[in-house]
Amino acid sequence: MRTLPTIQARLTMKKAAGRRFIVALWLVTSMLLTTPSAWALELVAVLQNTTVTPPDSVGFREERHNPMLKEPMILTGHLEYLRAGVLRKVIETPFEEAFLVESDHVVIERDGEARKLPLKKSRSLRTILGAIEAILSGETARLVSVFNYELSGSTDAWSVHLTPISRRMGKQLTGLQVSGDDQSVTSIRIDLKNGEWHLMDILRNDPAP
Amino acid sequence: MNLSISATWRRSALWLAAAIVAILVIATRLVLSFDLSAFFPQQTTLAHDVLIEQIRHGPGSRLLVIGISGAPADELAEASDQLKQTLSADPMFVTVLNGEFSDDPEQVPEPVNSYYLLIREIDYSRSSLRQALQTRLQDLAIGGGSVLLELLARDPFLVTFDVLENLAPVDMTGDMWFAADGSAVLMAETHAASIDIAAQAEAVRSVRKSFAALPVSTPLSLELTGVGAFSVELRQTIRAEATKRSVLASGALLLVLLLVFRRPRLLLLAALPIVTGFLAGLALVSLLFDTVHGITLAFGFTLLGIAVDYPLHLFSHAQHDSGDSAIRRIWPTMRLGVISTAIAYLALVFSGSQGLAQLGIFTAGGVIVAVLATRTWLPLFLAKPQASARTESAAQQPPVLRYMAAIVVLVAALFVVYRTLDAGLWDDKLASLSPVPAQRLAADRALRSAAVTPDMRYQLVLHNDSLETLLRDSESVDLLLAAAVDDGVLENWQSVSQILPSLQTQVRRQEAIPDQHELSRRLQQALLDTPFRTDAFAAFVANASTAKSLQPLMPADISATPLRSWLDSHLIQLGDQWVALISVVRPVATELAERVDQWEIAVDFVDLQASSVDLMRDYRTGAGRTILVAALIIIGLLWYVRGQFRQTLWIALTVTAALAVTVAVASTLHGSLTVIHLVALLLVLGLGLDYALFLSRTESVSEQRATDKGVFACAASTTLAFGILAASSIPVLKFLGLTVAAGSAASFLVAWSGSRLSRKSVS
Repeated sequence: MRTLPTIQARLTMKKAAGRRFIVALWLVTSMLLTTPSAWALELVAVLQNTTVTPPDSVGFREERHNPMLKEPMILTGHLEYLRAGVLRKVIETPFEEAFLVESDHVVIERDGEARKLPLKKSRSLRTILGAIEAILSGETARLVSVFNYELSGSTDAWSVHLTPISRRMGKQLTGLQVSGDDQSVTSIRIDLKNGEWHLMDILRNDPAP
Repeated sequence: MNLSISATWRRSALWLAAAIVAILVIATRLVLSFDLSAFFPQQTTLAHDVLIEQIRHGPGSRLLVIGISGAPADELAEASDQLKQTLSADPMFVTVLNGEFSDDPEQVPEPVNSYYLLIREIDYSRSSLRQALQTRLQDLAIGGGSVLLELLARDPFLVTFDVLENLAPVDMTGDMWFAADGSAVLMAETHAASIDIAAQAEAVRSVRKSFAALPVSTPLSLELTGVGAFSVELRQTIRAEATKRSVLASGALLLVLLLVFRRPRLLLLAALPIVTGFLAGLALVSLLFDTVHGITLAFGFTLLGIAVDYPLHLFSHAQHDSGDSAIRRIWPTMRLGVISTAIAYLALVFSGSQGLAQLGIFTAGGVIVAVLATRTWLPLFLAKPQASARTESAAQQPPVLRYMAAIVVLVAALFVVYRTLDAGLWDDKLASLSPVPAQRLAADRALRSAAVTPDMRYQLVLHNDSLETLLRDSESVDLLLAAAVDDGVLENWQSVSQILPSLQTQVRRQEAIPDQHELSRRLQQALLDTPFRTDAFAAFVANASTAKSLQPLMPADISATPLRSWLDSHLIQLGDQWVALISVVRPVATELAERVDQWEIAVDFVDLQASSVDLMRDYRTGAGRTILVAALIIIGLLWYVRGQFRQTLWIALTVTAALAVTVAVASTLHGSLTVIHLVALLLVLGLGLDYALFLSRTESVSEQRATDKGVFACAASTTLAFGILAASSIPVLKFLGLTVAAGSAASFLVAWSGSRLSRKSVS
């Protein structure tokens, strides 16, 4: 038992890692409800005009409003569509964090540590990823199998409101409002059930990665 | 004649009165039990006790595994969600999981919901709070939703998730479980133990009813597996199979008797000893034991099958003589046979297993009463000879007994056994006795694989007569295991101290919680320069204040919560000892075992799979040893009673050769032998002794004919009846049937060829 203090310290680290792991699971869902939709709605609204070919990257500025915060959290960074089925959200301010989604796993990079989590058992994540793929490749039929949609505006300034068909997904997500012009998606608003909402503006002139 | 009739009625009245007394004893005393562990040895190691406890009460044994298929994933998910909600409201289930976290934070199970601040170590310093808030802010940068926000408000350190992650009997990633074939998977844990088949049947009905009521557009398929579900299925299958085979076997037995004796009345008489023996045996065990196991009844009745031989010998010898005269002539042989058989059966009393002891007493008591009924009751019904007397010489002559046949058979059988057994003579795997069809077991494995369960094969076991000391030791082991995880020796573990800290630790953690004012002050300092509202964590401050004055958590508090079964599988009481079971996830077994050996705390590294094999091996060798001693006693008895060493040697050799042939046949057809074969061999020993004793009698030629006829009737009826059981698909019936059928035939053939062929060649 002489090594107790060292072991205690290790245990504390282990616990911290455990909490991060759990939190990461929430992040995966949230991330996928946010980022993929940006790509997805662009395709639905503008059809072939907004098709994205990887590799591609856009900058973003995101406001996150929730009841625990006295003021919205402002995030900036960029979204990367690295190759078919691989997406990455990189937060640059107010702190650095990256979130990579691949076909069968996600990787969260925080404080210099990367944690890989399997995705194969997650039906919800697989469904959403499938929808993203559908948008990126122009398969509208796959998209509408997951969301009901209402399109308004013109080709130069369109807006589409998406609501999940699945009752289960509907428990978390009220809807998505995706706006864009004749070239790309310009903003995505996500409304959650508890009155929480996130607005992500897509910055057009972001340099390529 | 009148005197004879009245004597018959008087004797019958006495036997009937005795039967009524036995029935009254059974009616008032008999309590049946179906706890399989009664058949395990009583004096065992801690590892064996742990294994037995896991089989009896382990949470894995209470899980009903539900698979839903037949529709697209979305529809299956909806169905899984609705079924989970319906079954969760059913009081029959402790918990119903489908992989998803609960949508309702209020559903964080007690005692975690109330005690989360005492279950984990928390640093309430301003810097620690600030660091936690910063991390939560990062979480909110990409996560959200009402569940997360409400949880963060009461638990900025997120210890609740940390605790729940460790508690789940299955891996909780928050995602719904789907098996490789696309089925949605749920796990419903019943309150009732898996051995409570009536309650399990009720639970299965409830699942099917709830499933049928699902409002779905596509017709879905339901697959239900797990120990409880299998037990319910098997009860029906086994009952139907056993009934069918028993009716066929009884029919075959009656047919043989009718063919041999051609008197239907004799069939009824033959039933008297076995019925009286059964009643006496059952009354005896009801008086001697608090509960009688169902298996004792089933196997006991089988072993009592030898009692049918006694009236057959009598009928055969009474064909040309009165029953009274016939029984007097054969009684010495029959008495010797029954004493030998009773000794063999009573050997089970010393096997160290309560179930086997019951079996021994039941059958020994049964055969003794059956032979007494044959001796004192049946002859009264056989006052007249069954056929006209023959006028043959009454000169008695001993048979010429030859050893060579038995020796040749014995050597040949041993050679066959030696050649066929690559994997060893005995199969000690519990699974070998499982009557669950292989495809159902495969379906169960496929569904379970959707949720990663901790590797239940290996467990670390600590014990102490003081619960507090045990919990403190478990906390120390937690620290050592954390180091082992860091070194890659295992992936994770589950221990009782992760939910039930020692009293000392709980009090220390309560003392570490600052008072409400101080905690608010530190929190406000930590909140400076963050976007969080000042009252964002008010729920945390209030809960901390409550936790500071909570009564320490005790096992009884958890017993009333959904985590009761989790506690039962990690903390058990064996006699005056508290035992903590630590399950380990994906360990490097040898390395972990080496580490455990080096720890200063006494911890046993238990391999449950090896333990189950050890347990069966100990059980089998213990039973085998006592049977061997009984066999030596029987040989001594035969020598003492008959006074002829050569004849005794012949009987011993004949019975041994027959047993060897039986083992050769069973091992050739079934592979390695199980404990069921061992019990069946015991009956073969009794049958072999019976046949050899009768065929080695010194008697007249006409008596020899009667003996041949009687022994042949016994052997033919037993072989045919058990041969029908041997064709069953249920392992227990199959093993028992083939072993006894082969044993009966071998016993007759070896004894007859060694005694009768020789006589003919001499004459």
